[in-house]
Amino acid sequence: MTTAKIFGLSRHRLTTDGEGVTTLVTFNGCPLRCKYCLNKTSWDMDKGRDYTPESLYEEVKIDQLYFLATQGGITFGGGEPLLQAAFIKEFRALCGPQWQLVVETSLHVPFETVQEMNAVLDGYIVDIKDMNSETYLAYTGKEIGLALKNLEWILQHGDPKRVKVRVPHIPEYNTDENVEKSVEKLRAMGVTDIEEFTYIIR
Amino acid sequence: MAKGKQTCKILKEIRKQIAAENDIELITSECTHKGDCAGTCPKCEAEVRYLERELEKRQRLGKAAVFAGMTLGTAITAASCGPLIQPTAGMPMDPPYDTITDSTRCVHLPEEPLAGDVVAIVPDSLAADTVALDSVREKK
Repeated sequence: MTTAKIFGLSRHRLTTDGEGVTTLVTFNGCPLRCKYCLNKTSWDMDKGRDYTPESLYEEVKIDQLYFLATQGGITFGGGEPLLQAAFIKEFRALCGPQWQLVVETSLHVPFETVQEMNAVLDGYIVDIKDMNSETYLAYTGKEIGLALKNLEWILQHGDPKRVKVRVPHIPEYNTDENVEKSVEKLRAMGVTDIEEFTYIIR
Repeated sequence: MAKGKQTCKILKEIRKQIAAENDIELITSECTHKGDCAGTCPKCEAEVRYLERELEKRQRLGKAAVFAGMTLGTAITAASCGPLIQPTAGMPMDPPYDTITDSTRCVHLPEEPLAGDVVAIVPDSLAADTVALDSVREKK
């Protein structure tokens, strides 16, 4: 039986992560250790609640009517949702093809996982951090190569419009010029939906 | 809680559109609740269940549910709301939404999961090690 730790569910998100009305489901577990991680809860595998695809489906189907009417569905975040590929695949089998399933991902997962999941998912929100390898390593603690390989592959194996890439201005880690360079590189790769934003540390 | 009221209005508009598209009589009334609004409530949820039952009746008679031409954008416009500015998944939001993304303000799981707007499943004790962050969109 497939299970996963989930530390949050958020209903009725409107135009935030994917089209239509969505429910955000956040998994525990992440391969990165970003300095300004928003969900450090996800690093702790002892927190959260155990779900099976069936038990999650039973909870979130309460909003099926909204999903169907607005072309919405579930956005899986975390943590790194693609670490839960088997769970999401089983969930897809339960919810059927009409719900939009989107992942908010760093794409820092095995290449085989991305290949396996591409047909299961309707969209990606990729948090790329920074396209400079040194900045990426300093900020996340991991090399960027795997994420870039995976991004390139999903761009080449489906409509690029289903891939949104978010590029943060990260205090103490990158500059406006660095961000601009990241955006240029992403455009050159074929990314059409790019969103810049800024972390503000309080 | 203006955001909750705004969500409530938009969801109500979606319900009205579903009813209209499928020839279902749906009588809604103006919400007079003055306190916090999570975007939905038992009355709103009852309307959803009513629509589901009516659609099932129609499906048993061979009529498929119709959602043609319905988008969230049309619902937002019809609900007379301004542009929605909400952060993307993983980004912190104003309460109560930030309970999902910012463990400094997490709440215990309510008795009935998904009965309200946000269910965060982590305990408050995790608050200490979380960096307080916020973000703004700066689209060029």
